[in-house]
Amino acid sequence: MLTIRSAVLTYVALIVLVLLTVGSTFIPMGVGNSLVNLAIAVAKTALIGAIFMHLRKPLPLAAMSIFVLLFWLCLMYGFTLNDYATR
Amino acid sequence: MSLGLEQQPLETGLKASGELGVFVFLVSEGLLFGALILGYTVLRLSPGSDFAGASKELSLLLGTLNTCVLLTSSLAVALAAMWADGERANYARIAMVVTAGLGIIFLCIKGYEWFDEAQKGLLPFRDMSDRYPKASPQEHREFFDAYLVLTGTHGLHLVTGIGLMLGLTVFWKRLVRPAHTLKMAALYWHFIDVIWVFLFPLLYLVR
Repeated sequence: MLTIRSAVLTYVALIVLVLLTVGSTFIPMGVGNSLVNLAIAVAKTALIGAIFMHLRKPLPLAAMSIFVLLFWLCLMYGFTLNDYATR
Repeated sequence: MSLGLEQQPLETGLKASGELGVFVFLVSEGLLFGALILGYTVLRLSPGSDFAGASKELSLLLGTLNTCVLLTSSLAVALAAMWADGERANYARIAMVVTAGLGIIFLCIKGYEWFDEAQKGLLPFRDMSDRYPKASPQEHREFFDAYLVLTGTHGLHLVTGIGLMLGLTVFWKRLVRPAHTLKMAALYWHFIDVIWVFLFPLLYLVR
């Protein structure tokens, strides 16, 4: 159950993550910058999904939908990037 | 005797009236943006390419501001969905107007960015050859092609979301189950936010 307190705390956490990801671009880390940015984006998505979209304990068909999306994305990215990595 | 819609057992775990439909729709949208972002990734991974170098031309300040605006709109729509049940429906309607307003602010900032970039000759509808006479203009053009497609598709989705929020606010009292409809619309709005969460670092932070 979402409360005003949890919603505002989530929002503050999201803004902090935005500032972190922007700040990290000023520290040259090469490929590390992209990895940090990706990790922070995943963390932000997890916060939005778990708190704002109420998917912390997803109902069966909602969980299946998310699994289907991740499965097809893994296939799409896996096959394409596998081609690039082995050229 | 058949049971009414509200009395049907929830064996699937989802309430009747379209929750599964919304999730299936969001899966299809996720695959659409997944394919577009994959196209961007493939261009960026091209050997010897300075594709990502064109990111320096984008305004980090406006991109960050827009990200904060969209995250604030997500908070507003989450509060609207929370207030939708019970006696606080008027709060919910105000929060929906705030959400739509923040969406419009996002589009205005994005529109200004596009205008500014077009003036500099960065977007595909102007010739960039005079701007990058010695660099690798083809790669920079590819970046801005991808940028326009990704932000444009996202912007179109946001326009739909704004219409949804304003439509729900106006027709709130005519809807059979306005609170439930708002919760479904909120899922869509959060999804648009999640897409931007990935687009922002991909486009603005690869400098």
